[in-house]
Amino acid sequence: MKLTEQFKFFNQAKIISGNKGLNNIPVELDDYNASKPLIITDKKSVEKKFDKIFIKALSDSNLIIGALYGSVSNEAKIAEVRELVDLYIARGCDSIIAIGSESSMNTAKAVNLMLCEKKDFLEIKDVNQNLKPLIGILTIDSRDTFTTDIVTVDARTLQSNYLFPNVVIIDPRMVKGGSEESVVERSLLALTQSIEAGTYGVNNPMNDSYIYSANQYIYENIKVLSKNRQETEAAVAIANAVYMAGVAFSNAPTGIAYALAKEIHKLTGESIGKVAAIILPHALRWINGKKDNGIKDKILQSLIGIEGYAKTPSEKRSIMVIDEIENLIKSFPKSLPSNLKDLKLQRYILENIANIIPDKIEYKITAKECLAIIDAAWSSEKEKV
Amino acid sequence: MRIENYPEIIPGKNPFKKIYLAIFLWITGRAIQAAARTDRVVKKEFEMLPDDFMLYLGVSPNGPGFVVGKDSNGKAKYMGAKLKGKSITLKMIIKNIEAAFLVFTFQESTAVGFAHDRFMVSGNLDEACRIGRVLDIVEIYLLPKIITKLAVKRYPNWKQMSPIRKHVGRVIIYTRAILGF
Repeated sequence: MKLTEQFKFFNQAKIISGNKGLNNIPVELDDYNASKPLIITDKKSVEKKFDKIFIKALSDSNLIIGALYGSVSNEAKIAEVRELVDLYIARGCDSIIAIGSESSMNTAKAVNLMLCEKKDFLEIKDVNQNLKPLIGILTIDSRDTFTTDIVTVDARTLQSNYLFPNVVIIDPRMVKGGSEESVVERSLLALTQSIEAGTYGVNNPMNDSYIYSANQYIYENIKVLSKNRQETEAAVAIANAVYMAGVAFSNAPTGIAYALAKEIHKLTGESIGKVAAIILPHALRWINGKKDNGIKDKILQSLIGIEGYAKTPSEKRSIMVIDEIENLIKSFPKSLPSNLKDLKLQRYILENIANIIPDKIEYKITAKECLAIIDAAWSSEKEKV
Repeated sequence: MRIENYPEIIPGKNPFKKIYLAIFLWITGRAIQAAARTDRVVKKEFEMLPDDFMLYLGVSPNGPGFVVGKDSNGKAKYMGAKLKGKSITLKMIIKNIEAAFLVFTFQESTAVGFAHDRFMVSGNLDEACRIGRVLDIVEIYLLPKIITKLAVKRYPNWKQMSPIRKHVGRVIIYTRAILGF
């Protein structure tokens, strides 16, 4: 195996996955000399009673919950962050636990930043110090940047190694349930993050190990979990894949499908997971024609296994990856339309997005090429973009 | 935001599980002492331990647990449930009450519990492995085969532990554990 000349990889999160994972929180906090966390979660998690499961899991511990804030909105908001900083100080908390959605984690990271940098979030330009202990509890609503080193509040984004959570907990009690749509959305968003992390930029063997595992978990479990959302093994596997895709995403340049989906989500409110999944095969078909980058052979192996990989001639492997992803998307007709047109998006918004994406990603792409990818995804034509 | 709307929360208690674990660990602690005086394998394992050896096996953060150590004659002795005033050389702590309940209701074997990172060990690892083997033998004596098979890695066959040795040993260990000698 050839070693890449130079690469870097960073992930500070300790992962605790499996039965009764939540019950380890007191011991983990004790390692940081912390015993009074502020809990930040969202309305959906409270509706699903994840907060109650969490409190019950802390029984017979010496922890005192400083406060439980369960009203985080769909997007993290600066006003809410400022109020939570006051709450943290007033209650004398010493750590933060985020449960559920990406917005809960973004809010928690922003509170943490404001407390440590002693500045308003809008004034913080970079992060150069360890922050307060932050634990993330993955639920069925956790996706996108939950386990990454990114924080976004009111459309302002910061990225730093210090923003990774210290501990990530995956407990079956928190990752089972939800709808088929939710399973498909979060799994395919993770697949997009993971595949794109291995497609752009330099070869990174450490990141590749996360990428291949995430792909494998998703491919093997998405259909099982979408049919039976109470299937423990599949639910935990998909949650692990979401975590691994997040880490891989943090250690790679942003991909085109993800960047387009994020922007479309921001401007239209459409599910980022659905949009990313629809665009992914078209973005991959575009990158596959480039000399400096392309779809790695091994991605096919992580999707269909060693036997299918060995049977496929090497020159057809990258095309096979795209076909496999398209087939996977087609297997969820109830949850995922096959093209952007069926999502009822405004066409002119997409054209505007095509113009701004080239400035938002490291990889060189023109607005015209972005539009060609969007066009192909709009009506899902299979011709080369 | 009104801060008083977000009060401090003190997580509850689970007395049933705590009582079960307290009884189980009390019996196990006393049974270790009894087994070390009855079974030659356990006796030999204890002989290999240092003279100042003292084990605490308990549940984080507030117990229950037990202390077993060597007395002035070098024999295994159950020294109660409290840590205070004892110089422990080996601490084996289960991270939380739920994990302890899984292990001590045999939903997870001790080996699987270790693999699932449910234990924290501070002290000599060699001694911890020795105690792991002692616990396996004690469980074989204390519990019926159908339950013990869930708790230990491998249940001994007839050659390793004859039925006579097992059943006679069981009666003696139970008697000694209850009477405390």
